[in-house]
Amino acid sequence: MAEPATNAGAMRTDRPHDDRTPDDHAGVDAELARAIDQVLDAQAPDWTTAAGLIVARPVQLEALRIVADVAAGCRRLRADEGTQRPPPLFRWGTLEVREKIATGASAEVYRAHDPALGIDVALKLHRDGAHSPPAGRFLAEARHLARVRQRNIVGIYGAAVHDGRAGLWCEWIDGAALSDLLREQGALSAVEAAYVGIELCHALAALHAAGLLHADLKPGNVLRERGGRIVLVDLGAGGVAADAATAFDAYGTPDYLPAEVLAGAPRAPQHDLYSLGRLLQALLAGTPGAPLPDGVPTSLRSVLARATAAEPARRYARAADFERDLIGVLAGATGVAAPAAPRTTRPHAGWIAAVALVVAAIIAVAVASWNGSGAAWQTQLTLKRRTPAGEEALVDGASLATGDRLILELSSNEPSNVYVLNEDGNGALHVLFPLAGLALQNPLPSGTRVQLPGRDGVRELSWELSGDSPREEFLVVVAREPLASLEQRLARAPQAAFAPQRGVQRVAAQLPPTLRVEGAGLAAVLDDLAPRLADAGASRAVAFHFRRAEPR
Amino acid sequence: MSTLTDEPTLTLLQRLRAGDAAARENLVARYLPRLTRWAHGRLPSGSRDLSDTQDLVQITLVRVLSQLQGFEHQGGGSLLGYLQQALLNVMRNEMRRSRRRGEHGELPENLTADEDDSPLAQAAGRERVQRYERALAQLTRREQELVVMRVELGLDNAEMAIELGGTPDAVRMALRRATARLVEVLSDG
Repeated sequence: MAEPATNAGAMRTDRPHDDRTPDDHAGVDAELARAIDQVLDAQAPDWTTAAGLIVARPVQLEALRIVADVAAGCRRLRADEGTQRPPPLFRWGTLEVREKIATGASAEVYRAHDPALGIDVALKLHRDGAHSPPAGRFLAEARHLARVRQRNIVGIYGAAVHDGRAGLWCEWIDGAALSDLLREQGALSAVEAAYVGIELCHALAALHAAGLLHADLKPGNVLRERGGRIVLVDLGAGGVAADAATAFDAYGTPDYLPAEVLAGAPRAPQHDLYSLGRLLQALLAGTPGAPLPDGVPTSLRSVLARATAAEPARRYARAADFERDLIGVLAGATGVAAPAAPRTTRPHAGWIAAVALVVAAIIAVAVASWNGSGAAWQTQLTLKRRTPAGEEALVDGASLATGDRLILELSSNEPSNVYVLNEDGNGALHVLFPLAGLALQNPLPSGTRVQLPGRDGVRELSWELSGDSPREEFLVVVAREPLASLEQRLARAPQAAFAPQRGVQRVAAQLPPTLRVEGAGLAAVLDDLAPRLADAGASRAVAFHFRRAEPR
Repeated sequence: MSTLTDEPTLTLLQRLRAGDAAARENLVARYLPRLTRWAHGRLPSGSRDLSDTQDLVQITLVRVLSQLQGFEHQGGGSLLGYLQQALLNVMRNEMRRSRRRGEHGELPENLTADEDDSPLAQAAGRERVQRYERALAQLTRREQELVVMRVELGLDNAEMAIELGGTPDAVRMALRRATARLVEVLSDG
């Protein structure tokens, strides 16, 4: 049953993309606000938040990361404040070596403390052995790293030879290798893997621009720092691309290398991109070379197929191209559109503007009833979705999508005054009921089941879910008497006139900016109503919480 | 770290102005560890070790607290913000004076560690710290104080409320707005 003409949207309606105002990105801005809070609270921003912002707010995300990095740097400098340290295992130069972390074929890695910097560092000491490269080559890693300063590449502090041992020391990353995460937590989701891929494209782009290549990209050489930063480490195998023909025969991990390299071809930056494709496959499948699980979207499959194509000419030639396609995957998976007029220095940020807006939501509370045995006043309300097949009551865990049409069904044994409010993730408040122009007005009749919003005199109406907010909350207040304070509050707002295909006007501009927090507008309404709601025999309220579901 | 006691700064400040020497010691003790760490992170890493830095900070705090006519607590700024700003000026002079090499003479040439870099610049990246500082300078004094207290000094909402007056909730809201402003300025530049 298609009823576009008879079931006009009342909540918000989509406008053409070229007509979007900043408010249309309310959901994205709420994500940015959440990310700011997470940075201020030194929490790890969650993957999907960052993923949405990568697509829609790349410049602001980068700006926020600068703040996060400065905050993390300051935290690190404060970290050992007032702590009593045990004596070091040994000293190497000025460094106090605390703890052995790993032993490899050619090096040992320690956690050490640098008293000059006042922070912990990772110290990698060269290990003599039959299979070790010479110390000079070992120190070359430090010189290579020193040429690149990029947040997805481990930062180096120095290199030297002490007591006959060559060593380099660099950032101590508080986190875990992706290989450990894979082992402990299993395969990553498509969104997570695409996010990791984008970050590593940044790292590789910086390396390649400096004339370097990594040459041993694999999950064990990528760390995820607490806080979510992805860091490429261990450039021991890599080096100057121009020297590649002679220097890299013996380095690399076969699972992640293209056939022509295994056959002896000279190493090139493009081989890093192939390795990245294999790495992402491993993150998705759990082990390298295993088939991708069913849930991986086609878009990501084709990106990875191209990255790891047998024919070198089909593969990505530049990290930026690989990154652009991964961003496209994220845009499809998270349903977030890029800004219509991107204020960005990224050359490719405008190309996603045509991506459809999709909001999926989970309803947490759907049915509320007050039928206590002693209650004289009985009310029951149900939130329903209109579908081509009819109506379905929304239950916990249901998903909603843009275009879904909702109605509220209510029955009461007494005439009741009903107020329905909606607030999206940006704190923009909408009045959904009562609205001028509707046939139904307060008080609603008793003894019969009424459906809101009802009719406008001619057509059967519903509220249509639109926009891209990750969060939608609904507050329904039912009262035996009209709630004067609430009505005044709504009256002070711009007249919430109902007009088919236009949507109601927003109230948010009238609210003090301090209310622009999660659910703040609704919380303020509830604060005002608190004395009335204390008496359930007079007024009752219920809130419905919708959130974006896992990307499909 | 619990160098910030619950005694309101304003009370200590009033006692200090009334000539109470213990109040000054109390204030120095309150701010010294945190500001020492902060200053150490921002001085060139070759220039001073931690105890040298502490001496510098202590001298500065005592001097500033002894000549407090420049500061009006009710004027909107916090004492901690005022002290941090005074310390920053002292450190800038210090950095101008000592532009000499540290002890990393054995470093291979062309290696990163530039001893003119502060530990913070080395920990977070020199270019990023510079971008942050340029953007921070464009905020209002009040916004700067909020951001510095959380991002650089690591005070939580309750501690900031003690320094700034108001409630932790109000601090949280104001800090969020100031940070959003900072992100906005950073995005433009």
